[in-house]
Formats: sequence, C-alpha cells, structure tokens
Amino acid sequence: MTLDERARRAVDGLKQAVAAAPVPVVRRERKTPLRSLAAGALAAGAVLAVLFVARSQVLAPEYSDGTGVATTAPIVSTTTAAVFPTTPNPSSVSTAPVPTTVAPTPSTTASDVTPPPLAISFPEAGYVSETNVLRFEGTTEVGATVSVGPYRADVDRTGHWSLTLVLRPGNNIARFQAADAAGNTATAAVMVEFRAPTTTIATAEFAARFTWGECSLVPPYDEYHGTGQPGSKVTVSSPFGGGSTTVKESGEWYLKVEFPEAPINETFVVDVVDSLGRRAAFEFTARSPG
Amino acid sequence: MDAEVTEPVVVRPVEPFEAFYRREFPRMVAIGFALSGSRPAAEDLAQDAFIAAHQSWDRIGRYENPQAWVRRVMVNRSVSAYRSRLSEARAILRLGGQRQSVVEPMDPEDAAFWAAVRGLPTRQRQAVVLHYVEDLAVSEIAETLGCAVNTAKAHLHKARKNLAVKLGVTP
Repeated sequence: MTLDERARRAVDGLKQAVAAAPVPVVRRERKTPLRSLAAGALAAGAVLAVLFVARSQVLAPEYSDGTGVATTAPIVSTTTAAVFPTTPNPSSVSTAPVPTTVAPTPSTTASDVTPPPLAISFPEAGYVSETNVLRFEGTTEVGATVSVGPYRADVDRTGHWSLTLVLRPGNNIARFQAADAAGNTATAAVMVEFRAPTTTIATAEFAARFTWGECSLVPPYDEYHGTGQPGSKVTVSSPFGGGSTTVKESGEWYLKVEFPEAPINETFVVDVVDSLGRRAAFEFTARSPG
Repeated sequence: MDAEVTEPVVVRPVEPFEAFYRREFPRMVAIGFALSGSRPAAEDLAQDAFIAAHQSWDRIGRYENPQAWVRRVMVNRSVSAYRSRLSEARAILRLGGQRQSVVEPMDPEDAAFWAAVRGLPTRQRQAVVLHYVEDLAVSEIAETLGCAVNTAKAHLHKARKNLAVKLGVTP
C-alpha cells in the first residue's frame, strides 16, 4: 500500500466520523452577557439576534469557566433551523397534510400548478451601484420562498422579500427563484453594474485590527488586517519588528509581522499607519514558548 | 464607439453565518483532530476559530473564501502546544464531560496514521494535514501557513518521506 492510499483511507475514516455527528452549539466567553450577545447577533442578522437573546437568558447561568466572571452562550443554537435551500418534492404534494389552522374550504394545494408571481422592485435593470453590497427587494406570493442559489431571501408576511448581495466590478446578474408550497417555481433576473466611484477612493475608510495581541511561538508574531484606500501603503512598526503592505483592489489589507527580539511578557505598542497618514495603535506581548 | 459587452457575473450573497458554520464546522473539526489528536481540543479549536469569524463576519463573510480564513486561524492556533492543552482543559471544564463529541471512534489503522502525522514536526504536520484532509494545493498550503511556496513544498516533501518511513509504506 502506498502512502497516498493509506492517507486517503485515513482521511475518509476521519471525515466519516466527523460527518456522522451533529454540529454542536457554538459557545463563546463573554463578560457583559446581553450587550455582547446583542452586538454579535446584529452582525449575524436579525433572526439570529432574537435567538441570541432568547437562548442567552436560558443558557447564561449554565456555563461557567470557574472564575465567576465569564460565562458562555451559544452563537448558533442547535434549535435553529438551518437556512438551506429546499427542493420541492412533487410526490409530497398530494400527501401533504392540511394545516389545522386553515379554514375548512376546499383545498386547492394538490391542483395548484400556478407559479408564484415574482417581481424585483429594486434595483431596476441597468442600475449602477457605487458600492459592492446591494440590497435587492421585490414581491412574491405570500408563503413562497425566494432564493439565489443556496441563499434564501427574507420574505415577510405580505410577500415582500429582500436579500443583500455582493457585487463584483462590472456587470452582475442576480437570478432569483420563487417557490410556493406546491413546488411551483418562477424565476426573475436583473442585471446591475458595480462601478466603484473614483471620488470616494481618496476617502476610503481606513481600519486596522490585530488578530492575537500576544503569542507564545518562536518567533512571536501577530497578524494585522483592515481596510483602506486601494493601492495605498500600510506600514506596521514597533521597536521589535514591522513591515508594510499595499491595500488590495478590494480595499482590504493583511500583514503578518514577526517580533523576533520582543522581550517576554513585556507589552509594547505597535503602530499602524497608511500612506494618507491615518493611524491606529495596538499592544502586543510575547509570552514564554510552550 | 461600440459599447463593450462584458460577461456578467452571478452575484454572490453574503452567506448567513449560521449556514456557513453548519456546513464548515465538521471540516474544521477534522483538521483540528488531525492536528491535535484530541477530540475536545479539536472541537474547541474549531469553535474558537468560528467565534473569531463571527465577530468580524461583516467583513469575513464577503471574502471569496471565508473558510480559508477560518482554516488559517485554526492552524495557527493549533501550533502552540500550550494553547492546545489550554483548549482541552477549557473544554473539559466547560462541559464537565457532558458534551457529545463530534468525532466518533475510528478504525485503529486510521488512528495509527493520524498518530504518525502528529509525531511529525509542527510545520510538516500542518502541511501534510492541509494536503490530505483539505486537499489543498501547495500554493494554498503556503498561504495558510504564511510561508513561501517552496518552503511549503519542502515541508510537505519531508512530511511525506517521514510518514512513509514511520508507517512502513511506499512514499
């Protein structure tokens, strides 16, 4: 048996074992439970935010790291339905039970062959966007789902839907599909253009973040990243190491900086500055290896 | 002048964090387990990496390949034996032995293979795990490890050679 054959078998075994088990709740440590939960949840979406608060109230006292200060709470609840696309199953149409809350009128579900209406109200065809993130909106039948590939739009009780999409430079086509409970589908597409405005480049927001803040490896290092004006230079400097990089077309930058001479357990300041003179400062501490 | 017609691209939505997490978590646990050999530590490493991603999901979710970011965080964090031990200790403390493990028991031969992988020097171990578990190209391994392509190639070559000797198989 060759090494690759042996490895393939071991990888299959490993992946099978992992895939067979459920995905657990993600927990994180926090010191101000509800405030940090709400902030984190907002980043993940409004639906998640509701779950966060609801679950934190139940789970916050359950987990403790023993310090009496930090507790843990779920980021994703196992009780949450995954937002995955569903393929209508024609065979289920005739056998689907009628919900008990439905008025006792003759059910038309089994004979419903009318595709749901699907309209895109924003943006209109040919729309030129100056940002690469655009919120698409429209209307469909009440109760229908709207999706782009594997991603579902939020559909409210009136049939109004919305979905935020990331555009690439140039022309973009967004193809939406609506599906009703009977499995009928309708599609609609719109082409929009993302044209980065030249006027905002000079004022592109500068942001810098660090990843670790401390390191126990040899040599110790940290990773810095953020956003800035595309093409501008970002320089990271400190008494014990530094470097520079150029902001990418996407407006993002990343730099790994090693601090080989950093004294152990002594915190020092790391300066980050871009070529427009905008600055940020962080602290870094090298720890004893191992 | 004729208008230039360019091929439109299909837009990519910002994937909800939850969907990303549910899809990618088992993969990350597999990497964590291959690197650490500890189930609780693997789960904790993966969770820590996803938490880091969640905190900046507004930015990371727009990346072409957010899983590469999570993978890099995991691999970096697994480097430190201290952190791995801490992760495991924290996992045990938090769960009080009640958490259901994500990784089920595996075949003894497979377990022996991963034990041999974990016996490799750190960089070799990382390179070979990324090569086999994630099926990454050398350039992607280099990007994940933050080193030059030739360096990653050398790590992978040595790792495969050492593994073959340890396992008594043909390289």
